[in-house]
Amino acid sequence: MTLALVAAAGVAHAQPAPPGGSLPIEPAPPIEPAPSVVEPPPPVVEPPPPVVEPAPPVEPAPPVEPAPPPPTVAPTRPLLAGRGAVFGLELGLGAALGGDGMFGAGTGKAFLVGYRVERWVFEFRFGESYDQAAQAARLAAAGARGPLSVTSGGFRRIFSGGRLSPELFVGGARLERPLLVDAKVVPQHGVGLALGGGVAIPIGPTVRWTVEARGYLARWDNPPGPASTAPVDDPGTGVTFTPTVEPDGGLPFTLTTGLKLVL
Amino acid sequence: MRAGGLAALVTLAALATGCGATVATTSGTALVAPGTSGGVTNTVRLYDRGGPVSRTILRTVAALGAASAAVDHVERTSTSYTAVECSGGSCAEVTYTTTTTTTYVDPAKAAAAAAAYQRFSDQIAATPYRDFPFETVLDIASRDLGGDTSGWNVWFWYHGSPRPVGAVGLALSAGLAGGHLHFHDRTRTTLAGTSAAVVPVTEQLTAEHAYVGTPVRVTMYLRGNLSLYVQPDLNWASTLGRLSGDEVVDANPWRLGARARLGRFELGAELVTDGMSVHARSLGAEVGLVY
Repeated sequence: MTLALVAAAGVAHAQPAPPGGSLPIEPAPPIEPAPSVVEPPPPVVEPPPPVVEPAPPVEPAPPVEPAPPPPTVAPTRPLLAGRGAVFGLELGLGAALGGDGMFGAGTGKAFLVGYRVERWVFEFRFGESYDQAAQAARLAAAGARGPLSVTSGGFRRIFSGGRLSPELFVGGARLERPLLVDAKVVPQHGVGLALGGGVAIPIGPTVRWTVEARGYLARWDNPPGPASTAPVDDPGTGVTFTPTVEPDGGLPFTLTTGLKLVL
Repeated sequence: MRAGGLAALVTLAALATGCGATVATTSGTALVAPGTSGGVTNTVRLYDRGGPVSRTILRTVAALGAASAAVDHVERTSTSYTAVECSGGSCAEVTYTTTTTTTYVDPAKAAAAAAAYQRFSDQIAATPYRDFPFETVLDIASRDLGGDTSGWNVWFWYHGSPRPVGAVGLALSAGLAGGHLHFHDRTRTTLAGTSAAVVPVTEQLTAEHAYVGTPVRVTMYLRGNLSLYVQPDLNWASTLGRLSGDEVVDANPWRLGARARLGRFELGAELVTDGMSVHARSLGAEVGLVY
């Protein structure tokens, strides 16, 4: 098809029509075929049949990297900025250092509610009790145990830090600890100063894991009757004591760990 | 007869949609007074997780609320009359008073309350079992099961949705609970004497545990259908009893537990303590089928 079109164009070029048509007509030279200026096309190469190759193994798409945050500062709330409520739940140990030594360390728990203004928290700790059993085995077997109970309120300062943020607590407390009076476990009440220190580890936007030790400088109010101290366990006669009307309450302290919801 | 009825109940609960049944055994000294010996409590625990019982309880509460909302006002009228009554040769004038309470229902309020109830009921019906956040648990303890304890406990829970915190999910649940357990043939050792000398005294008794609780549970969901929880529980029965001066067991159960699910198969382990005391603790295990 391409060749035929080119040949027709060559004929028209060789016999142009004169304007006016008055020139003598000379015999036209024999028409020679115009030289072809078009090279014959190369032979059509049939495309090779498609070779079916096994599909390469599909590799999992690389994980989509989260887009980096824009360089501009997002209007998010900085950690511990603003103010809000605080709720907490703690488990731990409680004991009295020194004192009459009648009752040993006990395990227990505490709840707390508070209100935070930036890095200051006013908190109220309630339901805090640690079940202290008598240190003498026979007394403990007879169920001679009672709670070291603490109800406290005070201020907490959260210091800035890296993953560990130190905290200090100071406040007041009402305490209760067990005494053995006339073979019965009765409470000895006290009030005093609460001092604490610990660390908090953020484990979420609003949740902090805390570890804290607190000590209480208490003034005790003794119950009526002499309290049993210095037990001596005699298998034959029972357990004997040195009674006293001024039992030494010692220095109560607690070591707790827990979770705080900081809103 | 009793064992047969229990077995039928367990089978029914295990097969019903939204329900389940497990058996549990617990051993220790939790929930009894200091100095009381430990024992074994075997229970059958029936679960309703979004099943018919939990839905019925919710509908009942909603119906009571709707009925209360329909009330326009309440009138109380008192009428008195005096009569002379004679007894044993002497007569006295006695005044009797009858109080009548009349509740007036506002038709418009009643219609609105009925419509609100219907919407709530439809919403309950439309919620799939696994998305239903309420759960009812009935715990039946019986000496027929081999332990030394008889009684029951029931919990009605609202379970909040887990929220991601780091690599785990945390969820808060709150509920109401009640129950009464008898721990048979336990021994209790107390002290007798003075502040100078005491001797232990032991007696045999059936200890009791009364329970009217407002439990709260914090659950940490790990991978592989494994969860850990801590459940503090304020037992109002012991708190009110202590305030009234009775000698009651100050038992505020705290529970630390772990649960795992394999399909409908569920395993649990739980440490029960009185206020997290290591001196009053029981350890339990539970296994069963739960929807």
